[in-house]
Amino acid sequence: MSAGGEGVLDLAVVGAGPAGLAAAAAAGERGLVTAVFDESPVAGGRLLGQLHPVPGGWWVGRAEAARLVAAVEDRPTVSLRLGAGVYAAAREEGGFRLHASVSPTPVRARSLLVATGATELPVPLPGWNLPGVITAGAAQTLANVWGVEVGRRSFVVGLSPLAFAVALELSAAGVPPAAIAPPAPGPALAHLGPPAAQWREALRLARLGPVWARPGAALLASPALRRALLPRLPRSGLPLLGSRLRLNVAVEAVVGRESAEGVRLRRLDGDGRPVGPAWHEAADAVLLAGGLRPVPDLLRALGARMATVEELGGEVPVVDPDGATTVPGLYAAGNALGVEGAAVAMAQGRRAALAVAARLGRADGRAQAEARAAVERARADAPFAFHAGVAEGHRRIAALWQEGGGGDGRAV
Amino acid sequence: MSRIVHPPSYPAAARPPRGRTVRFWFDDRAYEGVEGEPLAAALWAAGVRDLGRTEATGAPRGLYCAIGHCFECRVRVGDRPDRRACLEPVREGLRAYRQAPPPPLASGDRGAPA
Repeated sequence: MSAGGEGVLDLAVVGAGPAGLAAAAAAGERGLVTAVFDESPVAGGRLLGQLHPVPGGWWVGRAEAARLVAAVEDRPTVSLRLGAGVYAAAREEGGFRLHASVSPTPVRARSLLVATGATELPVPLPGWNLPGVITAGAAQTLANVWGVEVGRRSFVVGLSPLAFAVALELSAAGVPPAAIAPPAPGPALAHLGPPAAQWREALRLARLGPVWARPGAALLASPALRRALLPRLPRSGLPLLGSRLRLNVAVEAVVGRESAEGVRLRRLDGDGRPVGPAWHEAADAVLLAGGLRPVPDLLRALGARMATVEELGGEVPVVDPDGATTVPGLYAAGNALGVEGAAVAMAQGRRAALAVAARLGRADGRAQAEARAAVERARADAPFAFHAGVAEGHRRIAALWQEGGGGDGRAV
Repeated sequence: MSRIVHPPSYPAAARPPRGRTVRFWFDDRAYEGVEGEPLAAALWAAGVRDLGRTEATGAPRGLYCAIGHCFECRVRVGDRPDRRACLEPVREGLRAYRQAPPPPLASGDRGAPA
């Protein structure tokens, strides 16, 4: 906070993931006095644990994060405050006041960008709180970020895109999970939909899968064929990414005394109903892959108008084409706007930073138009969508904004 | 104990940086970890899953989300209670403990380092 008068930041960014880092780099490029806060001691957020094959090699999130951190550190007006969790924020005259865990005095900023990303939907099966049961994202953190083996016989529960991403990454590291299977239906799992709905979600990804996946998905799309075929598939499942995709088996519970030792399984019939007797299989780690939803807390606390949009993963702020919320000076970028890939998040971060810069006369309309177009391009180029209809979800948000902000959100 | 040995096909840029090995203690047992990695990752690699007991029922709890959201991995580090093992970097000589019996709930910010 060397410039900007009385220690007031031009821009405070909460979250040092792809959106927050890209925003800080762009803000620094325009000379904005900026600070990025993240409670993790390491910058990069979920980028650090992501990798996937692209034509001619691999897209490596860790390398993207290193590039963004270098860009941020290159800018004298930007500071990166790691290990600093923002636990409270309020609006005040001319901006915002933030309380971060490492600073005894509040931080003041004229604009605030919330880039707090997403969190995982729970899969609250019986036994899900045993040690050894972790989220799919936690497995990415252990294995991809820190090189720690998740388990000798790990079991992925859930058919969300994250389940397959983790299986692919663990497989690339030579430690594939033993199996991927949906959770058995239950009252606490209604938010995940019944197995039949989860199958549909998984089959949406089939075009990215092995050669059998596309025709397999086409067959399973028909309820009649599904009823005929699924009971005939071996209960050990089909080979996928060094693992076994077990569509006709469901996980009823995690079992173990002091930590996870196994899972209790049931057969699923062609309609996704558990049938027949349960049996146990060993599992030393259970990875719950319920899917992702945006983290709305800070935006909601600051009074931004929110809306629940299924295609974006849950509760998101009503924003203008730059990610400005209904609260003046408050912006959102990345998965806080809807669950998408890191490339979209980075473009959204840059877009918000340029909007803040424009307000201060440090960016022109052309730069802003380019930044907006880059978000659309990144979305169009994404290898897959976390939620079907994500573009439609953003159109709904745009419509709500034009109506003057609304949705089912709370009053400002 | 269980560190991944990556196959040659694994992209070099994705490999975790190899920090120096440090020694730390958890409930007075010595372990080795990589400097800077989260305590929860070092303990997981050492085969430790049970990081404490929940105040509600006394049942064992461990790592769950690994990004600071869930607070299930709370441990005492030195004399600081309720540190999230998933965010606490391992360093030489660190001493951490399972929290049992549970400490009384305290008010105010617990996030500030000592």
